[in-house]
Amino acid sequence: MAIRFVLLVNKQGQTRLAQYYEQLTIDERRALEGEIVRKCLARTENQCSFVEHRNYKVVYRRYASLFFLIGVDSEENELAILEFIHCVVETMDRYFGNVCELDIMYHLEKAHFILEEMVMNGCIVETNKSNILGPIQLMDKSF
Amino acid sequence: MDYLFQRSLDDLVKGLRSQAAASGESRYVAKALEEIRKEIKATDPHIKAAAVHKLAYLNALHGVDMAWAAFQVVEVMSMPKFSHKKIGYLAASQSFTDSTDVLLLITNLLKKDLSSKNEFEAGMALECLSRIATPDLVRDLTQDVLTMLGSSKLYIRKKATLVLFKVFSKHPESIRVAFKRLVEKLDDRDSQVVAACVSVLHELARQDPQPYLLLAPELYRLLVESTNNWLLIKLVKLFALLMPLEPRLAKKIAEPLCEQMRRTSAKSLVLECIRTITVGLLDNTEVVELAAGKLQEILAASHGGDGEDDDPNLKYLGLQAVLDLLPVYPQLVTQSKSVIISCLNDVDPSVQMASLRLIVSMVSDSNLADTVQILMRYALSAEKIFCNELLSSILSTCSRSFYELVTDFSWYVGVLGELVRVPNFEQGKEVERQLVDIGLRVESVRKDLSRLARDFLIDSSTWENSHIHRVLAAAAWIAGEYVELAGDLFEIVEALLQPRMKKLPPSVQAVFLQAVLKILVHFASAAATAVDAEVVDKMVTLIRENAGSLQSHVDTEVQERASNLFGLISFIEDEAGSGEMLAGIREAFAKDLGPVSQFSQQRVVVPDGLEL
Repeated sequence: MAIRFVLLVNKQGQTRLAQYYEQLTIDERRALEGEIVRKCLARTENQCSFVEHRNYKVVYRRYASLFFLIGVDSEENELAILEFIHCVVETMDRYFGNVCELDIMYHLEKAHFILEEMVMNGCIVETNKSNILGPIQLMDKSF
Repeated sequence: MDYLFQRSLDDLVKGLRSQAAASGESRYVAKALEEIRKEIKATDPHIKAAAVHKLAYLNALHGVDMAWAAFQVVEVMSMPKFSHKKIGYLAASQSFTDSTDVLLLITNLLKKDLSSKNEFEAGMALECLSRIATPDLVRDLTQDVLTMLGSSKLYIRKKATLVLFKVFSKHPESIRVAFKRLVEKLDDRDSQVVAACVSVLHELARQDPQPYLLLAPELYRLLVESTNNWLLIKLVKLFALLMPLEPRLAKKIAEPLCEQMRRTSAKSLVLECIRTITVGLLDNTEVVELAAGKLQEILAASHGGDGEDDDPNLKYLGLQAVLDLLPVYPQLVTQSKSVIISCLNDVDPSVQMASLRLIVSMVSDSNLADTVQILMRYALSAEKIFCNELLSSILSTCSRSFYELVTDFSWYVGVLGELVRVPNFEQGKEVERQLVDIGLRVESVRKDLSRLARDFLIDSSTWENSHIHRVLAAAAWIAGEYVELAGDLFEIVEALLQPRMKKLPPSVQAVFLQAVLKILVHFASAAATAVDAEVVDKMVTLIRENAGSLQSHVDTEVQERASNLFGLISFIEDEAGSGEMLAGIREAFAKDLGPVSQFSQQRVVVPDGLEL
């Protein structure tokens, strides 16, 4: 698995979206989220976006009040993942129209669907926005 | 009628948001959970689906366990309406684990959905399979997935290709059957499917690269033709895995790799190429030169000059890459020296550490003095944690392989002295060890050590920092051991017995007392003239005054040594016969202690008749 998990966290450290690509119990997930979120939120603007945690790396970026964190294996290309985070944000932006934290909260499953189209088995599958949003918009129309 | 009163997910979220305190939130969650438990048993599909929806939300974001609802989730998954089904599948992907027992029930359900004409239903089933696959499920559904590889719909083909990875990892025997089908996808007319195929190959190759070597020609073609950065990165990674297996492969891909590095503007791709080069192409000078050139550009770009436009990401990654290329291209460090050194006081601790690691790996005996000077300078202004990292790297580099790199030991003793005075100093134990160690091994520098010891003992302003205490113990030991080299012995005894010493930890006090003993023995036995005898008397009086109370100290070691000291004193005062005794004791102390080799114990001959 290259990507192990995707987290969206707000400035207060509350998780807004959590997608895991490996099996973890609920307690493990909460512990993991607590540790990593604390580390990332404590960093400043001038520090690099990569944090090493245990045997994997976390790549993160802040967009307004939301932090996007992606946990990856140590061999993964960090800049590519950073680019991917940007891709996710742009896609959600296009779908929700100027996405904000509330959009994610009220339409969590849509956010999940978008992410599912982009990542599968922990691998980045699709980065073209039209290809991602096409199926989702069709789904919305017919159902 | 019931479901008019049911809270929808929207209401749930609104309610959660309106709770100010965390306790209010958990009460609200508990209440919502109760409602869900009731609603979920309803027969009406709307109510059931909405209940599962809310439960999935709570499970994802508030850690509420939903394993008890597994059966209801399966029920929702089998509902005819797509929007309900989707909720069920989402909940399943989130919460089913290998041990969920209802997994047996869903095999047929998945089979039906996989072959559904609606591509979204099929895609959804594939997605779910990729998350929750168990060996049983996979075995039953492999054939269905393989059929879908040939579907006319791109959406299905892409997802089916990706699910194959899960199929292979959970059910390895399927590789024999399905491998050919997977490889066919490399030639698929649609680039998305090709990219999916490469992803799967890469993941599989990470575990065992050998079987994928024969795909190299295909992959080579893709490397040369493709312009999609994501695909290229995956290909470059894949080649990094394959290169160690086949040396000729490295030569072949050197050219396309260079082409990509020259052409692309994506730094991520450049860095990936550099990483691959460090794996297999280090002996190809042309390639390494190009890589080094690109890396220098990156490092230069990462520095905005006045620190304003700095890109911390590029700095960090650039430094790591330089470290990787170091074995073949050390010139890179000299060329970018100023950049690397200025990174030592960067705002970002990761960048600082990367820079330190790089500098330490470049140390040799010719540049040791300069390097240490630079590190010291930065240590003075660094904050605590990094300061100690710097100091400890100085200590470990210099003492590496029994001080292999140090040519001038009196210079090094000076360095140790400066080190101790750095604010935030915390390396007491290591410095103590090194001071004593050097004293034992390097005879010529013992005078410098004695002088250093004297300075530490007399200047008690440094005693505030508790980490210094071990160093003081070393200083006292040195003063006592190399007593012939010390200057004014009286001064030292005064320093060793000053009132402040009583505040030091007992182990340190014990060493101090022993040192006083040694000095007294030395002095008393060498006292030839009447002037000297007066000084001995003064020393004895001093000892009596300051160390008297230590005879009844709580710590046994301190007590014992103080008693020894006073025993000696009463001995000295009793003139008769003391001269010979003193000379004897002095000789005992005069023997040089040296380092003991690890193998000495083995060399000791076992006496006859002794059974070990």
